[in-house]
Amino acid sequence: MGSIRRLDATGFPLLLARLAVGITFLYYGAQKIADPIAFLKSIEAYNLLPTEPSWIINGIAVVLPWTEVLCAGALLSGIQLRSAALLTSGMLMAFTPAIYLLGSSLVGTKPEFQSLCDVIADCGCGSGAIPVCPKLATNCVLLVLSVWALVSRSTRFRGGLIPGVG
Amino acid sequence: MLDNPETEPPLPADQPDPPRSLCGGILPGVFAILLISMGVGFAANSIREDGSINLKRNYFNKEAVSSVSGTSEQDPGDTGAAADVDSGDSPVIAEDPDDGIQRLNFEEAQDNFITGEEEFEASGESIYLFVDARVRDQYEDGHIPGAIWLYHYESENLIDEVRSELEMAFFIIVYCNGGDCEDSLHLSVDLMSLYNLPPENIYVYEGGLDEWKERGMPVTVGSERR
Repeated sequence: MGSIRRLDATGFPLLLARLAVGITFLYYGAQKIADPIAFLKSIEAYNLLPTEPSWIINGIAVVLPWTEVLCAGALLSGIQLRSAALLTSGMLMAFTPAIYLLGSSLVGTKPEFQSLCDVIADCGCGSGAIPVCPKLATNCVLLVLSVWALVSRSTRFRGGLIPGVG
Repeated sequence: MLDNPETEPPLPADQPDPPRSLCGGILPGVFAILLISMGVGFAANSIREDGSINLKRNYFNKEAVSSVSGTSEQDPGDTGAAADVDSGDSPVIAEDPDDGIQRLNFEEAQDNFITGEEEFEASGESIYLFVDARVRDQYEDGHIPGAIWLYHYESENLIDEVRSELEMAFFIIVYCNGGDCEDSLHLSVDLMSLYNLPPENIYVYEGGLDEWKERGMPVTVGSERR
């Protein structure tokens, strides 16, 4: 624990977490905002949300990309950093099992989908159809970094990463 | 810029505690981010010209109206005016997953296409109408000759332009890419339930354009129908 605290005190893990999670959420949030219908279709493909009443799934498709972008802005600017880290952690904790379930449901549906790591699917992440296993691994790393940003006690690199902001 | 000047240098042993309490600092920030997201998201959705989402519309209807279920097992060539025009070319239902949607396999879609094109060449019109449910770019990259464009997710804005043709057709054959694409199924249900077209006239070619091209059938590239 002591070594983790010392590492945390350097501030670099927090900086890495803010940059990695912030830039990732900014990029994928912007992709979804650019094509909300594609995002709507991909979240429907999970079969986890009801399509009636329709405003639930439609509302999520409209609002969630902006939540991602705002969280990214907060992580990069340092404004409401921990609140944003809590939200990104929550989103990643929801998305990652959902991607696993989606990938698992597709195993065996095509000859080339022999195992989970063979599956290529549109996870609704804003990146189109991608291999599921690397996406799960990436999400797990982002989740660790996001939780780190949430619980970090470092006072270094807590301010704005952009001059004049935060 | 990167460091908070008021709190440097960091002291691992007794550094100040930047984390705030959950209720005192973090949760209000969470609610603020969520509220701003909702405000910006709904505002942006309401003002965007293309690709906006109608919050009230269910885009994923998968079951046809009950009256279609009742007719789905019968040969549509035996019903109404369609039979009078050309009962010998009437399509046969390929399979019935009990959702009330009439499906065509490749051979049936091909027969309808050939007959429709022959009719069009002879008279300038046809009772067979292919409907492309995909996004405009995909339609322009290649579509079944003669197909009209009716993107499922913007059909509310497009339906008025093509309604007269849909109402004149006796065999409306909806397709998308095939494979995992379900937009043709969703659009076919909307044509029946949302736009009140006769359910017995509406079919889905599930193989879609991917199968159409694989089988060496012609496609039209560009915005022209033929």
